[in-house]
Amino acid sequence: MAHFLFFLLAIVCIASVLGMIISKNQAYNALFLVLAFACMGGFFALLDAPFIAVVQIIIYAGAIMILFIFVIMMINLREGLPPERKKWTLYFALGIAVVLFVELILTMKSAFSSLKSGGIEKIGSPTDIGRLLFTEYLYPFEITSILIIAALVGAIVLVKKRDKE
Amino acid sequence: MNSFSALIPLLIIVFASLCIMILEAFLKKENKDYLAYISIIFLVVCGFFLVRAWNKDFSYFNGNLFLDNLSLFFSFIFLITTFLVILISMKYISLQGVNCGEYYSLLLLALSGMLIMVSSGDLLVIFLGLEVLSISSYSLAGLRRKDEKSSEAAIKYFLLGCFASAFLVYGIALLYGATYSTDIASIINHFQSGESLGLMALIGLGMFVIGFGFKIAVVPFHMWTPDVYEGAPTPITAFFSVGPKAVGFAVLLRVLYPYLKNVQDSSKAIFLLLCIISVLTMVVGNLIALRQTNLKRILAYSSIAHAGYLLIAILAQDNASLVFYLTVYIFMNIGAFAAVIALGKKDKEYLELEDYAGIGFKYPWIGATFSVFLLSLAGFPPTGGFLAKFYVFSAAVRQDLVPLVIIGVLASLISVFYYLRIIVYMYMKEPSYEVDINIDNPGLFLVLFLCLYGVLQLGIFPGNVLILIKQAVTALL
Amino acid sequence: MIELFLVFVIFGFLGVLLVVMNKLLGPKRSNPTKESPFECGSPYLQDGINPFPLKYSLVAFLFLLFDIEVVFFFPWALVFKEIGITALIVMFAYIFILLIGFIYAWKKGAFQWER
Repeated sequence: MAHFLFFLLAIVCIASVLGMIISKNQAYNALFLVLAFACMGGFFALLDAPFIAVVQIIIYAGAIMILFIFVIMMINLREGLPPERKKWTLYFALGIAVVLFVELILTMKSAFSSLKSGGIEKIGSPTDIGRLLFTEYLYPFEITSILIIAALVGAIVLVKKRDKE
Repeated sequence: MNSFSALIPLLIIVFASLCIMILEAFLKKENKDYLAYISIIFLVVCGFFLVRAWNKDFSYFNGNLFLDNLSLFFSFIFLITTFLVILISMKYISLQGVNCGEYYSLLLLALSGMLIMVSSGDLLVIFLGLEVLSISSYSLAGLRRKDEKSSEAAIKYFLLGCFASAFLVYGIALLYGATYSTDIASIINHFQSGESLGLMALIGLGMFVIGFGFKIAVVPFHMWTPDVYEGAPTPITAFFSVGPKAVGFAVLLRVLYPYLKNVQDSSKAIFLLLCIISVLTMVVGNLIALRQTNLKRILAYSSIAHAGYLLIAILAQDNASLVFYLTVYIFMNIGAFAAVIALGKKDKEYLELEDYAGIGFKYPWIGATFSVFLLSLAGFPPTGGFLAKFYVFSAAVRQDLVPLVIIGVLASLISVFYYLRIIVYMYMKEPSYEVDINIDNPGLFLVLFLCLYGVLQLGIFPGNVLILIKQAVTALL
Repeated sequence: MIELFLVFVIFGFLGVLLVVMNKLLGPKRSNPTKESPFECGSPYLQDGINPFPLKYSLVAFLFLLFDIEVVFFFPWALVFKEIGITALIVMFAYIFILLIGFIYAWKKGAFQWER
């Protein structure tokens, strides 16, 4: 069952990422990305990390995507890069992709070896996170409310029209 | 001692900020001047609680929040900074069309961010405090919405600030990965125990230093400073040049002092990194300042250069001289900015060097006090700036950092040129056009007077303050 | 477990079927005018996606902030019984600060449409 779900999610995830890269329309790109994020949420749920799954869907697929869409809408991205810069970008991307690939292989190697020795430790259940958040990390938690309020005031004061002065 | 009292100063400031937000939303336009007085009242109340907590070592939230003498001293300095900045803003914001209550609200939120940062030993809390400070600062920089430069400053500050935060978080994550802790004391313990922490911890620490390097504007990471300082409203520039810088040094002091002192083998790399940054900062900051003609940009580069001297104090592991330097720096820099703000009228600020021709005789008070602040920034006796530099350099000599001291002294010789040039303009140039300013500004003159008092008191009779600082830095041992 | 599996299979299949059936069974007649977005037969005037004013972003931003706030309720609800009255106080303090922000935003007209 878990295997089936995993492969289903994996296929949808990879397909949507491919769709995101191939599609020329930015709105489609964003929607494909939402799909990919949602699939990732599914992965986390499969890994017994429901809290991260929920956060992945609420924050990434919900909130971060809104920002993406707004940036797409606000900036006119119609004209692509000029060809000479496109070439340069391509080489750069290739280089980074190779580095990432090597890195992934190395990580996987070490991850598999540690799996054999230890086995999976269950972490990240929402109850555990809640317990930590409201006892040991209570102070940082309360600070986030100040952080949110600072962002709120900043956004309103910069965007909202002021009364005539 | 575990006590709720540790939380009270922070609570007062946050509550003040919330009050002002609500009042701003509900008050009528003509009553908004009162908001400044309300915030000052809250600052005074908070200061009262800070003074009462001296020597008591309150802590709360399992030690995530503590008020040892060092954090009390820094908190008090930040309160004074905010107090002075509010005083110089009162007239300015109505003259320059940024008159909104959120101004004070954001300023107080930034202050609460700084209080959070200095009163915690946990990197996670420090990071959150830094974000509170940064996010308020980004919006403060963009408050003059009619001015393109102000928006540019906000977006530039925001993008580079995010970049720096990313470095910082990455560094903290690496440190956590290497030592299984975000608490400074236990991280240092791990380093000290000499278990093979490897490259990861070292890179983590390096990234941490780089992240804070952006905030305190040291040289390879200083690109944003002049533009942001130029674009932001001038009182906010004054705030940026002292607040985030001082708090950055406070945190670096907490992390680097025990690290450099206790960890022998691996600290060489960080030490070298700091040396290079310090030399670059002093030399580049002062050299570029020579070519500037905008007062705000000159002061921006001068504040970059001062970060270099302050780094020497960290390298010399002399906490008292670092704290003393920061104290003096706050008074002289806010004083200098106050003098710059004084030269302004409705919707107009005089910021070019040319504008200052003949000011010394036309407005003798502004000219005289500005000269004192500039001399103090350059490091002439009998001002506080001289003593501060003297303490830092002599501490460095005691630690066998003679090459650094030589570069530092040469750099401050260069700086004398551009500081004195402003004074020369004020007293020895004939004005080619009329500069009329609005001098009905009691708050600003109060600040000029207070800063003058501070600079001279610290320069001539620093004894009492030094005793307090000595008591404060024992918290680190 | 097997029921869940069947649910996935059946409804997944149904969804795919409905999409594909239309393609398979329906007639295929198309011309360029039919493919273009509907604009009463006249050539369309502008693209579907246009840059639009900054004020809309405020809505997105406020959503983002309160969205993040909501995330914390999830673990809170789970440990509420365990921690008891402290949890209530903690959350009230948190909500209080954000409530002030909400009142401020409301009074400032952040939720109002600006012309």
